[in-house]
Amino acid sequence: MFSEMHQETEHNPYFVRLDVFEGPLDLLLHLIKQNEMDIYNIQIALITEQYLKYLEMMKELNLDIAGEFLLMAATLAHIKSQMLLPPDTQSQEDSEEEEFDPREELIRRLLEYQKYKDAAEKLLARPLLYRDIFIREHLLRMAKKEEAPRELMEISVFKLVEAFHRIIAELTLQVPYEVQLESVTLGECINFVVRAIRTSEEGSVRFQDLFKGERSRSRVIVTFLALLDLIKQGALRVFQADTYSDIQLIGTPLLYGEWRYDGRDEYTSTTEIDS
Amino acid sequence: MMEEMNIPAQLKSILESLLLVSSSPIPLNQLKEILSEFDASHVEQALIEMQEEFLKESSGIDLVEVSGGYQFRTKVANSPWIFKLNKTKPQRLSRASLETLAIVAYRQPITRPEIDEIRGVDSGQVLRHLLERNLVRILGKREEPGNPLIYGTTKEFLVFFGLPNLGSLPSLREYTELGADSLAKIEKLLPPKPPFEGDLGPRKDLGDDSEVDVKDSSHSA
Repeated sequence: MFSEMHQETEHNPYFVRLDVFEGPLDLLLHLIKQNEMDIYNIQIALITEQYLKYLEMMKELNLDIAGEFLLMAATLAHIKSQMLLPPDTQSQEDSEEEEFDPREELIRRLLEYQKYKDAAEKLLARPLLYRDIFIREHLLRMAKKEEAPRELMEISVFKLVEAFHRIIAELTLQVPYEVQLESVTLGECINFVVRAIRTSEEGSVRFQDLFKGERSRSRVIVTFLALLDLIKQGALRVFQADTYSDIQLIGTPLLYGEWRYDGRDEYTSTTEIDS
Repeated sequence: MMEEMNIPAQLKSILESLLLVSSSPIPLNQLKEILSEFDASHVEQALIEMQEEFLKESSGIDLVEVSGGYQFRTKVANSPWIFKLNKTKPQRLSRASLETLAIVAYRQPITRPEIDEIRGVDSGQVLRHLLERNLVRILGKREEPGNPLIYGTTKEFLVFFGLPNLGSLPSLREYTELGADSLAKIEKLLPPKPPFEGDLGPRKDLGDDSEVDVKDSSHSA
């Protein structure tokens, strides 16, 4: 989170090198290691002092100190004050082995964090795709045209829903004056999508083209549900060349075969109209 | 195991062609289905032998088991020349991304507040980035107040890190390396073991990308 620190200071003649810390726990682990301290026996007073010094340094560099760092400073101060209290003799007699240590919760969090920090490093040490290892580039499934379009990758429903939100946002909604009941069935919309893809020249349709000129919110929504239904049935696959390019819908052989809608109509929707 | 098996030369030849053409790892079952005219045990044996054959130094390809299937991958030592060919730079993940990814991988299904708690910082942006890179996905919603989204890793995650399945994640450093004293002290501090940690067997319900729960949000239309 302080990666900007390097960028800012690299052009600065008064170069100050600060390690990049992902958060207060990361910084604490660094301080513990630097002081060659046992993590199970942290010297809270010393660590708190150094921690605060570090925050001070960040302030001098005009860096925004994230709230998490301040919260940890308060936690450290609290633990430090608890450590100063004389041990409660009463409770010590009650349970000799269970001595309360105000550092417990902090130690637990540090260990937990360190575990995943180590795991992250182990993952990074593996031979990584596109860094150490390469695989066959994705093949284009429907390269019918001479000019090869960009290569496509299959995307998840998550992306599709995102694109749907964009469509809804750009929709110029009709404001009807007359109250009328329009019912849109899933079957209708499925047939519409199937027809659109079957009749398209390249066997694929751009996602946003399906909604072109559409002015009824319920039809847009049911058309999207139709898409999801077709994908679920394996009649449709969704591709994208890269993160921000158009989403392409491509029919599978199932869509061209003896495919028919099975008649379920749970998603029938009616327009809500404000008068 | 050393029993001589007569693998038809044609079988290896077909396998090699299939692996060359496929853009994603091919599951063993699928290979057996495609090669139905061959003995299923022969297909398995052929793959094992091919893996060994490709290990030799003059080969630039490894046959690797990854994300529940078999895939041809380039040898690590050859990457500098591939960068020259593709004119690309190595892809990098930031430390924040890696940390978050490790937490999601080992603790899935996990919610964002749980990730934030472990890291001690807000992970919203990092998570979004991982979702965009398709390394993490939304598994659904948890049945608890607020219905937080739960996250898990994708098939691409396994492909990216070259893992056959989630069970082959590097094991987490546990506290067993400690002395008995600290161990006893720490044991009581540890959170209850998450169900997914420790024994990370391959999980069927995490294998399929198509299960994102979108129904709930769309009904309100």
